[in-house]
Amino acid sequence: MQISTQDHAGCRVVTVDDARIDAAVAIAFKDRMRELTDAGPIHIVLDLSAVDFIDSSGLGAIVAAMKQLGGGRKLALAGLSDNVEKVFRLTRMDTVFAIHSSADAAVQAHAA
Amino acid sequence: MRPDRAVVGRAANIPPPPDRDEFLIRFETGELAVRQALGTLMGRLAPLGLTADTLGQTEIVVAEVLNNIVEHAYDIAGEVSLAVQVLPDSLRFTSVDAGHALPSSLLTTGSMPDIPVDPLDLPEGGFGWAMIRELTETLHYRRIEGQNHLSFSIRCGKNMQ
Repeated sequence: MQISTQDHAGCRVVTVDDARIDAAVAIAFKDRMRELTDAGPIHIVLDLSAVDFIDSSGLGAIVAAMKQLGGGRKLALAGLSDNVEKVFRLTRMDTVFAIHSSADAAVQAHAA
Repeated sequence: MRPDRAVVGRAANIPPPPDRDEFLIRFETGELAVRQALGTLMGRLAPLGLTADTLGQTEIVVAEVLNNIVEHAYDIAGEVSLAVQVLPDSLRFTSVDAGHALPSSLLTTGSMPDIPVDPLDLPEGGFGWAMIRELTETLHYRRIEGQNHLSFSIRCGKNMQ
């Protein structure tokens, strides 16, 4: 699973470079997120702009990634494609995560 | 991994009528089998002029149905078939597998998992069937001679020509 990170003032952007977060990679994604967010800034921004498909396993893995940050840190999402946004809306997970139009917008929001 | 495992049942050189088509996708369960089957399905639906919304809806429903079979029906591995019927106003599917019977309560009961006050209490599962129920127009299950037959349809929107 291709995931990269970049630190900015106040937040770490985690970018998924794969087109799918599905059942085939959900566990790998969750484990990789744990490594990449174990330490570091309080705010994590998950940039999903390269992702065009997630299924319920992928959604569960994103929820798990948020939960493993613990209570004091936050996971925000950025760059949701229409199909990905639809899954968040249907499951009402769009009410749980802060969602930004792009990683840049999320970085600006956290820098303010 | 056997990339040639997902096969389309009809010869590709016979052009289907523009708004009707019928084909069968078969695969052996495995790590990337569902991805490959979805790739085959979406490739086949791509030229039909369906809206992005319909295609997105179809991909998520079929993904959830096939993932459920791979994860819950079979203990080790087994064969899955997906019959697809393209009609002018809907897409009809029947998946068949020889795994464990499906608890039929999954088809009718339960809605989306509740959102708890504390995000740390959020469920990490239970969304698959809720999405299937939400996005399908019809959903029927039958157990016939040791096989699961799940039929479902999705209303389709077409792009203006």
